[in-house]
Amino acid sequence: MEGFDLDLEPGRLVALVGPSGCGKSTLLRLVAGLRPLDAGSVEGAPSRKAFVFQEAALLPWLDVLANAALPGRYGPIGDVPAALAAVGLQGLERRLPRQLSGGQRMRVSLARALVARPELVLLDEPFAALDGMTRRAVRGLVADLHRREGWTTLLVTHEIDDALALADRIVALDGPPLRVVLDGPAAGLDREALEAPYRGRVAE
Amino acid sequence: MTRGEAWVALASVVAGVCCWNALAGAVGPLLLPTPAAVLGAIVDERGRLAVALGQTAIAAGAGLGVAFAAGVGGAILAWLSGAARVALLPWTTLVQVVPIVAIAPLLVVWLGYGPPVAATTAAVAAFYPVYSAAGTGLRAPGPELEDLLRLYGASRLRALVDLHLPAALPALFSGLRSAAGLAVIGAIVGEFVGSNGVPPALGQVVMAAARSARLDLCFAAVVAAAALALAFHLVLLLLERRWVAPWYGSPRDP
Repeated sequence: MEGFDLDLEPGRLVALVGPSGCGKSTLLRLVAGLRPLDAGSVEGAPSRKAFVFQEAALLPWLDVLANAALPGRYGPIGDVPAALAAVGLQGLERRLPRQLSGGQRMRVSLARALVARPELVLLDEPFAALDGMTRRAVRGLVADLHRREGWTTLLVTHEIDDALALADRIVALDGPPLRVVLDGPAAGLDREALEAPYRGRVAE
Repeated sequence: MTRGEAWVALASVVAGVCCWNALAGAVGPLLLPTPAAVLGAIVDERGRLAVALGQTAIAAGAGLGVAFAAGVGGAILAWLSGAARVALLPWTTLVQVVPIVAIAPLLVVWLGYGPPVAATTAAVAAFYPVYSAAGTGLRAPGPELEDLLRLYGASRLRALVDLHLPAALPALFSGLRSAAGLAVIGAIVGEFVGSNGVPPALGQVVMAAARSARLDLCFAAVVAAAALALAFHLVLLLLERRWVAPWYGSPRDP
C-alpha cells in the first residue's frame, strides 16, 4: 500500500469493498493500530476502538457473559447484561461458544464491541461466515447499533449487497498495492456501478 | 467404544492369554511362566509388589511433576522471548537425546541409592513431550484473538494468562499423557541401577527376579508397572474430559 489516503467523518458508516487479498483487512488493522505503519500516519483515531472479526473470535472456555465482558479485564466498560439484551442474547448468558449458532456467536462478538463503548468500530467481514436469514438479521443489528450508539463504523466486506444495505459511503478498493477505484455516497450507487471497476479483472 | 467393540476387545485379550498359556506349556516355566503362575506370583508377593508399586508411583509421579513444571515453565520462557527460546534449544535438545540408562549410574554416584535417582530419570524422560506440547499449545490461538486482546489493552503477560495458557491445555494434556507413560519407564530404568531393594521398587524387583530366574515374579512386576502407567493415563484422560473437553465438545478417545 502506497500513497493511500482516506478521510472518515465521525458518526458515519463507511464500507470498504474490494476483492479478497487487495489489502482491505490490513488497512483495517492499520487503522486499529494493530500493525505498525512503515510510513504515514493514522490521525485523529479515537482511543476507544472495537474490532469485530469474521469468525467472531470468542474464547471457547468463557461463557457468553464472560466473553462479552472481556474488554472489562483491561479497561472500563459499559453494562454487559444491557449489551447482551441489545444484541438479543438474554437467557443465553451461561452458554459456551460451542453451544451457539454462527449468528449467535457473531452477536456475542457485537455485544463485546458494544461494552467497550467504542467511538470507532472496525468490522472485518462480519457477515461472511453467515448465510441467508442469519446474515440479514445480523446486518440489521449492525445497522441498529451503529445508529443508536453513534459509532463511527468502518466495514470491510467483499459483498457489495452488504455495503449497499448498510453504508452511508462506499469506498471501492483494488490492489495490491491498495488503491481507491471509486468513492462516493451509497445513495447514488448501485451494484452495476460498483462492479464496473473490477470488470476485466481475472476471476478469483 | 460400542458394546460390540468391547466384546471384540475382550475376545482378543482372552485369545492372547490362551496363546500365551499354550506357548508357556511348550517352552517350560524357566523361559515363560504360565498366566496362572504370574497370577500366583502377584497373589503370593502382593505385599512386596504393593510397596514396590507405591515407590515407583511416587518416583514417576514426582518426575512427572518436575517435568510438568520445567516443561511448562520453559515453554512460557521460550514463548515470551525469542532469545530465551534459542538459549534453551541446546539444553532441551540435550535432555531429549540423553539416554537415561547412561546417566542413571552417575545419578547413583551423586544421589545415592533410593527414589531420587528414579524420580530424576523419570523427569528427564518426561520433560521433552511436556515442553514441546506446551510450546505448541501456547502458539495455538489465532492472530485474531491476539489482536483482540491487544486492542483492548491486554499486556503480554495478561494475554498469556487469559488467552495462551487456557488455549494450550488441550495440547498440554495430550503431551502429558505421552509424558506419563515415559515417566513410568524412566522411573523403572532408574530403579534398575538406582535402587538397592530397601524399600523395594518395581525396577529393582524386575532385576532381582530375572537374576534369580523368578520369571513369574518378573512378569508380576511388569503387570504392576503397566497398571501404573495405565492409571496415570486414565487420571489425565479423566481430568481432560471433565475440564477441557466441554469447551470444545469433542471428548477424545484414549
